[in-house]
Amino acid sequence: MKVNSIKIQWFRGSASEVALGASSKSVVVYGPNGSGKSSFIDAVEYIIHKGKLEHLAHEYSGRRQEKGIINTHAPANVQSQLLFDFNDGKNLGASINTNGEYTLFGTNQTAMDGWEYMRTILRQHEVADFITGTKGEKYSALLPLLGLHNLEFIAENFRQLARTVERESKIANNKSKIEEIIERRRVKMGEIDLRGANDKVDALYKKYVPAGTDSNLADKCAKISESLSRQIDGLDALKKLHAILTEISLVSLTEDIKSVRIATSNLVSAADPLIQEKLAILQTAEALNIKLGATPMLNCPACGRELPADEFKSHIDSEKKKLQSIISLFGLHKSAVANLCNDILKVKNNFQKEGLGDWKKKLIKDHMDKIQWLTDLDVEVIRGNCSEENLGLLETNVMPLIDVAKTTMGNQPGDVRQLIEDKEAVQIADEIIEEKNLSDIVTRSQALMNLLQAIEAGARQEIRGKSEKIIGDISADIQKMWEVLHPDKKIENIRLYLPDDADKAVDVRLKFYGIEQDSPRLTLSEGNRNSLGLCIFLAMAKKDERDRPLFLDDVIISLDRGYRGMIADLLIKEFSEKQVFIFTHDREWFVELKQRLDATSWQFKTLMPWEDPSVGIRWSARTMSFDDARKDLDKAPDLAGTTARKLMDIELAPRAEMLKIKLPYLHRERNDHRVAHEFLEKFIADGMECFEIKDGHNYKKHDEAINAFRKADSLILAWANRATHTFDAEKNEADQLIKACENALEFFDCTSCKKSVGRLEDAKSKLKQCQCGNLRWRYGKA
Amino acid sequence: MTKENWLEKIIKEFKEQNPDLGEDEINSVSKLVFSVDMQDKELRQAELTQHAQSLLKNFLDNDKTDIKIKHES
Repeated sequence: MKVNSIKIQWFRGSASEVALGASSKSVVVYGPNGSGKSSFIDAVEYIIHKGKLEHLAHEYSGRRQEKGIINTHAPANVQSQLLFDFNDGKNLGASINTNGEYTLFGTNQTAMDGWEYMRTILRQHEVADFITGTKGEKYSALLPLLGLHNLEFIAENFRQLARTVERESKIANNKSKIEEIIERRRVKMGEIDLRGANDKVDALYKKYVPAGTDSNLADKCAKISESLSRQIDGLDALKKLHAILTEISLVSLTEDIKSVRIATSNLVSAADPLIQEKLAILQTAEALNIKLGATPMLNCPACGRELPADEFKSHIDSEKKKLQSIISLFGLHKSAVANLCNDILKVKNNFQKEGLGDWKKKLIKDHMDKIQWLTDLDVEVIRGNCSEENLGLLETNVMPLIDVAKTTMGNQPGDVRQLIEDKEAVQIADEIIEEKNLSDIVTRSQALMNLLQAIEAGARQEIRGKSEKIIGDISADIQKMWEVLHPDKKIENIRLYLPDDADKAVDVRLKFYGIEQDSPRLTLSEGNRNSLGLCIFLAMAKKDERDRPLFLDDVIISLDRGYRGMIADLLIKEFSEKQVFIFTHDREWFVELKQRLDATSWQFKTLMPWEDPSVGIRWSARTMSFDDARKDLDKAPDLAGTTARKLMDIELAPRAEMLKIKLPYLHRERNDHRVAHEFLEKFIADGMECFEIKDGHNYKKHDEAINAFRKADSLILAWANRATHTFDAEKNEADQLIKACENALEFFDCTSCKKSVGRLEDAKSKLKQCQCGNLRWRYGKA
Repeated sequence: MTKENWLEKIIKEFKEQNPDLGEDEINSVSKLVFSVDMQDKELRQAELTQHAQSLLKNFLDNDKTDIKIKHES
């Protein structure tokens, strides 16, 4: 799809509607600084970025950038508008309200949906952005070209899915529960595995369910528990009291508290420096991105060591491992606290049982405050935050109660104690089953996560494989374009590549005078970096097979002057099929492009200098930019005269080259800095013999042109030089000078076919002529 | 290597590493890879949660878990 025209009104620099007509051709627009060139580029970006302009993303532009997007002098009753007409007869427009909200309209409102900014628009300040961007930004810029969106979606969706599965399966929570069970078992029974638990359960099963036929561990445990409960319920009052006291006395509170203290101590000693370290990371993280962009070396915010950016990733991985060990210590601490709380609950519940009867009443006399403290205790508070103060209070208030229970039980019958011990043993065996269940859930959840992660890695590997081929093609184009722009620079093997140590990353390497360089930023000058940035942009644009235009906004200003001329070669060689919009404020380059680019596929337009917001953007009726000179006629006629003379220097040089005008060699740089008078003098001398215009079926000398050259030459000698050197030109003199110069230049173009007299050359190089043959420059007569 | 080939390679390796997991569970994941849903856009959290719950249901089927424990005990 090509653009026929871009119309804007009260948008950015424009006032009432102004149209950049292209008729599907490529266009070069010249305009002095501030004439409104970028307003047309802004219109393209406005649609691409859905109502936003990146360069207006600041605090003064308003919530929807309305203060910058809309012409500040727009009348109250008009809307700012953009309208793109395309070569398929359809159009796309946007109406912008004063609050910045916009509405799309037109017959194809999705026409520009696939126009990614980074491959459509290149502005002066963005030329080197690709080179200075991060590897991730480079990858993002390339991704649409790779055509691997579906695989990228698979990779990203599976990455997120693995995280969601981790959360939904409560893997961390289940792991923590398993640790709690293991810790509780360790405290009660020491190290015991599934086989040991099986043996223990088998022995109890034979004892309490002698006629049982169960083979399953869980069923056996259930039957043993039932039998034990029946036996305990059948005990007389005294033995019931003994059973309760036994249960209290078996609580190993001392061991529980010791475990919590050890876990707390381990956690504190590991976590304190970590917290300090993480704080430091937070403080420096903001500056980190900037450092990564500017230099390949950076200081680790955690330890301060200077290290290459590429090593930073592995450094961070080791930091993450440290964090993993802290998480594990947190888990152990949580388990120890959970066991302590469960045991306190057991003591508390037993102390509230009616079976304690008179024993409790007797105890209240000496330990009333402790029993009351235990009754009021909210165990969940300790579970949430178990401080050293809590532990001290438990030791003061609960430990004595357990000691009393132990003392009381000192001489009591062993059969009751055995019942309670067996009850605890079967509970622990039961927990082993729960642990096994949880372990299985964790294993299966982990397996699912591993599969999801493997699929993500597989998709990324596939992306890498396919990307390498496409990136190789783009790299070859970058190198080719570089060679066109810089045939003399020994920079070889310029290539994009996918770093081995990172996904979603692309970088640039090259060989500089035979030595491999990790980045163009290491060796290339700013001008050369900009050249390379332009090559990369153009190579990526060329790779995009969709037919859509490119917009280059003053990009050559950052290129070395010596290489600007080569851009015309690049455009002719590589972009004859693409529609390209070039905006420039470099008059010399504009003239050069006008001479070199084929007028059948290129248009050349000139903007008038911008005056005020109510006048807005205006096209000049001419393409020779003498309006630049005219704007100074009133206030500085000497400056207007000087500008006209400079324009003639610039405009005549390519015409002389085109018509092969021979000038005597001058020493050194003087040879490259000819002035208008030198060219005109020669055009007059040669033209009297060579310049002809059709007259019926024959040709006659083009006397009118020669007279125009003479007049321009004489005024330049008389007034332009005076304007330049003595600054005393009058307005009417400068005005006549400008008109004479414009008039002289117009004689080089045919009034019928509008093409230059130097457009076509015959096979024997005996003459040059315009497209229709109305004008010709015949050699051999000079 | 086609899209199917890279996935097949991953599934084959996964099966070898997890012999106790059945075809149903693995198929539930591999089918998801080439669903339009997965290839067309970045999924929102609600959609991810739905997929995650569905996959977990397949992977953590209670009956299968019990059978395994009974067998081991």
